[in-house]
Amino acid sequence: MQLLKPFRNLKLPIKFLIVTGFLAMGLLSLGLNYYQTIQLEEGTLERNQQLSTLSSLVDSVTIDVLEARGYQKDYQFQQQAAMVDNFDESMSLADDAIIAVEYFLRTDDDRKLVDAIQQRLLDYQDEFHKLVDLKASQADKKQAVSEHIETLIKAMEPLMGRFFAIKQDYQAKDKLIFDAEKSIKLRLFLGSVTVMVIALVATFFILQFGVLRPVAVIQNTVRKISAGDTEVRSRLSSSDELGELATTLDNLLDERIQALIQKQRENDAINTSIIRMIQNVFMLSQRDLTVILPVEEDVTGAIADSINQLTESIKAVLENVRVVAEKVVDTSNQVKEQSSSVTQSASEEQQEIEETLAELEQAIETMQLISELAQVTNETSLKAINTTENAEESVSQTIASINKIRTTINDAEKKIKRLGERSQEIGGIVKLLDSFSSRTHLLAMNASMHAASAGVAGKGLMVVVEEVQRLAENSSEAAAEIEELVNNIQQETADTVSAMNAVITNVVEGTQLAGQAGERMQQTRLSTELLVDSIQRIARYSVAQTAVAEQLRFRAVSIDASAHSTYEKMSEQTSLSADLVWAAEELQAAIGVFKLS
Amino acid sequence: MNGTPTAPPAARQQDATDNSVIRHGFSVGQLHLLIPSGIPVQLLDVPRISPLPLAPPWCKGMANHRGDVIAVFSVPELLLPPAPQTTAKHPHWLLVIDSPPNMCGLLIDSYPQLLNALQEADLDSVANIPEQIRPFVYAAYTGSGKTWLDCRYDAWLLSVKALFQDYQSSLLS
Repeated sequence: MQLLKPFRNLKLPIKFLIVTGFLAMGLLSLGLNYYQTIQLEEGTLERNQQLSTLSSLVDSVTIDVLEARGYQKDYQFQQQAAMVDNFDESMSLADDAIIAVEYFLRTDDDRKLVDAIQQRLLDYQDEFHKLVDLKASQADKKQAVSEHIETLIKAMEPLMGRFFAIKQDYQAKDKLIFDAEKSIKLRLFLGSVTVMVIALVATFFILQFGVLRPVAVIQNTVRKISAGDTEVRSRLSSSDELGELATTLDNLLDERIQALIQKQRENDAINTSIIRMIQNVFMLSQRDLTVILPVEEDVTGAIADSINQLTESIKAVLENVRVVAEKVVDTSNQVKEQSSSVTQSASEEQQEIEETLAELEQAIETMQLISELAQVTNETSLKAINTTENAEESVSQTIASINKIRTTINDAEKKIKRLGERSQEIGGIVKLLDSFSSRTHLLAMNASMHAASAGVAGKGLMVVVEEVQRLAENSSEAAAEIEELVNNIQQETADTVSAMNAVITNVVEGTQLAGQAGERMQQTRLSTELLVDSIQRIARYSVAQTAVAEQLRFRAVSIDASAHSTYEKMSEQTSLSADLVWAAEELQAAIGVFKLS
Repeated sequence: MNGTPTAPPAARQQDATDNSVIRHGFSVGQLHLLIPSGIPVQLLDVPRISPLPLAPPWCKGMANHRGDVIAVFSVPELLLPPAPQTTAKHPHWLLVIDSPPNMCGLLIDSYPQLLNALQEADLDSVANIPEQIRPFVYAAYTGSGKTWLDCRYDAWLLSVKALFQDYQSSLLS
């Protein structure tokens, strides 16, 4: 544990950092191991793929060469051009495969072998084309070429064998490589596991002794304090955060204990002050308001001060109450005296009311008599109104008759005026006739003058002219006579109109007189009505007055009753005033118990 | 215009003493004049007369007679001043004498009457002939209890025209 002491004083972040470092280291080793494993597997996979591709290419070369050989044989037997094309195609495929194989070769010997094979194949292909190009007549050359081809084929066979063996060599080599890599992978795995274990162990120790144990100590301390053990302390000596927390907790506990002790002392002092205050308040309760409570520096000082202020307020109020009580006593005595005098006045008032009642009775009787007289007068006035109304109606009828006469005369006047207008119209026509006769006369004169100018020849015309003149003269005479008649008619019409106007004037005067009579009758009726109305009102008012007097009598009775009641109330008030005086004196005596100064 | 006026041209003259001859005449106060024969004469109601400024009182103005503008003279005021003015209240007629351009209108206040069987009278014995017309009266006749004078209206009207011109000249001077 001494070895771990340095770790205890490390700060928590550093401890967690160390733990994290160990864990990271373990994880890193595991990660490296995993990465190596993947790398090895990828390498193995790639080699297998290359080997597979190489194998397929080798097989492809072999197959293509065999196919080309077959096509060559077929051509030699069948001499078909298609065989040549097939041969070329197979050879081309073989050539492509050989070129692709070179990418997968690993040694120079293998590359040289493949180059040799490729060369042989090219030679083979050239010889075949030579063979194809030779004509059928060149059998000898064909034979030589064929034999050369066979020689090439035979020379190629060991090369092809070695070519085919390449893939097997490579396969064996790949297996050796895989085994070596497998042992490396195992060693790496064991190493990483070891590192991980070490990291975990370190982490455990760091967490256990650096974090968990101090936390447990602090937790235990808090539990004991909660249970009531105030002496317990954590006493952690480490200088990390948990140590500081434990130290702070211990300090807080120490301060708490000190505070409690101090509070206890203060409580004791307050208790002493309270006891003293209670003693003083007891003295106050004994009505000695001169007591002043001492004001301490503790919380009771404010209470004592408040009580002192309250005492002062009560003293002031009681002083005021005493003064008021004295005033109430004085006032009550005055009220009692006044109540006695008012009682006396009420008694006198009651006597006067009774006298007033008797006089009211007499007034009521008098008013009743007046009311009866008013009734009689009212009946007489109604008769006068009826008589006046009858007279007014007669006058109205007279006026109506006169108006009718006037209307009739007006109508006659209108008719006569129309007659005059007609005669004027006749006069106008007569004037027209006169004008006709005048013009006819003129015409006749002119005709006469023209006839006179004509001399003898105009004599016949003169006859006509004379006749016309005579007719015009007759017409003029007749018009004159008619005019004279019309004038006479107009004159007589005017005279008649004047006479009628005179009659109308007389009628109007008569109507005015009748109207005046009617107005006077109406005024008489109105006056009579006013008189009747006044008498009726007098009668009503008399009745009302009687009723009012009756009410007054009732009121007087009630006033008498209320005066009597007032007398009784005032008597009660006097006795109440005496009680008030007694109560004020009692109040004074009660206040006098308090010692105010 | 001196001496006894000559009779009108024979073509227009008629013998008033011939019983078959009918004449017409009109009176101006106590003066009785025959209406000229042989020339167109018309008797009319007085038309609307338009007065002329600076005209003598006997010249009433101009009137429209069937499209012809004629001068209108008051015979009573012309021959017998101071005669009452011929106003609308007094009955009067217009005697239109002659034809254009010599047509003229004469206002008369008595209605012309038919005359026949006139007797010739001594012109010199006729008294109280107005000086204004005397030079133009050339014959006198009696009929219907009156002495009728025959005169040359054309010459008389020419003298009236000269009189009008003198009157205006006197006013303008």
